[in-house]
Amino acid sequence: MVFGSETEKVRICTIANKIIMTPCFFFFDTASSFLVVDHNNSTDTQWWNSQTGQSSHVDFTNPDAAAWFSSRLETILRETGIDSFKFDAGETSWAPSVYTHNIYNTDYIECNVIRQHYSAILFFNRILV
Amino acid sequence: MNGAPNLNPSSLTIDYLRTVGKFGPIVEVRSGHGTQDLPIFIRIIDKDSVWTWSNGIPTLITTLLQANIVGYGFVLPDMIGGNGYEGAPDKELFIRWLQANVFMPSLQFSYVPWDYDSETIAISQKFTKLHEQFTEVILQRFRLAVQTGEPVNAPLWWIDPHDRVAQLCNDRKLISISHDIIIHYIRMC
Repeated sequence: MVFGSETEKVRICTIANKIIMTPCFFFFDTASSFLVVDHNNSTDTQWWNSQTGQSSHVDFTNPDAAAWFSSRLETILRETGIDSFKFDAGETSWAPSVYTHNIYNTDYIECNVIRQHYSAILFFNRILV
Repeated sequence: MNGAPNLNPSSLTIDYLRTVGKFGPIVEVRSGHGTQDLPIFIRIIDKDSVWTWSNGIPTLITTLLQANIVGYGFVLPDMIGGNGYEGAPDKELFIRWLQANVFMPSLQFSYVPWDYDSETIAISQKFTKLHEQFTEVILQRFRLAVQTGEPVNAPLWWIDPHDRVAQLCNDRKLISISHDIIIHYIRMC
């Protein structure tokens, strides 16, 4: 519980992000159906504050996952008196790179990742030349 | 994952931001993809506590201008003095960083004036007060940005896009926040 935030008129925010840490089994079990899945049917990924295999990424393109995530945040606000959030991350690079997609197969995704990589190189090359 | 083919994989970013953007007016995010319409702060990514163009204090301004030009005007500059990954900012860098922040939308202290000395506290109070005095001007720019998409903090040439001198002004030296106010940075590095 956060004390004093109303009487002192100081607004208190906490940082939040879209990574679910796998050692956090209490949430991970609930979250397991709301995560980005890769071509090996694994949810493992890595971000700047984890080691390999310690984290997973909420799939916000699944409306049920987004609703679940929002409800968890609303619970934090309600139970702690915290006023709002600083939302960290958001870059797609923290998700598994070869993910499964409802339209594309993973072969395409893999090609797409490679294509984007070379597009980036070409882009910088043009600038450098 | 789901999402439109032509937005793949950026749908993950877009849907994240549109989910968390519903959590009220003091929400802050640090990423974006076609999300200029969200009425929330977008934070400048971590800066280094150095004087140089290597992600140091001059790049606070270039990042600010770039964000504005592509339609993200509700910029939350990064913490005053930078992130200090290679050591805390010294007194002058801390004060100059605060001064550079004054006419930007928000001041974010993490290193604090009383980490330094009484002179730093006095200077910080002066410039925090100055920022407060310009709150209404900044809010006017916010309203204009919502109406027209204009930058909140614009490069100098925004006043006169055909002025070649303004176009060639080094953006570390001059920016404006309205047609009435021109900010001149006299020492950035």
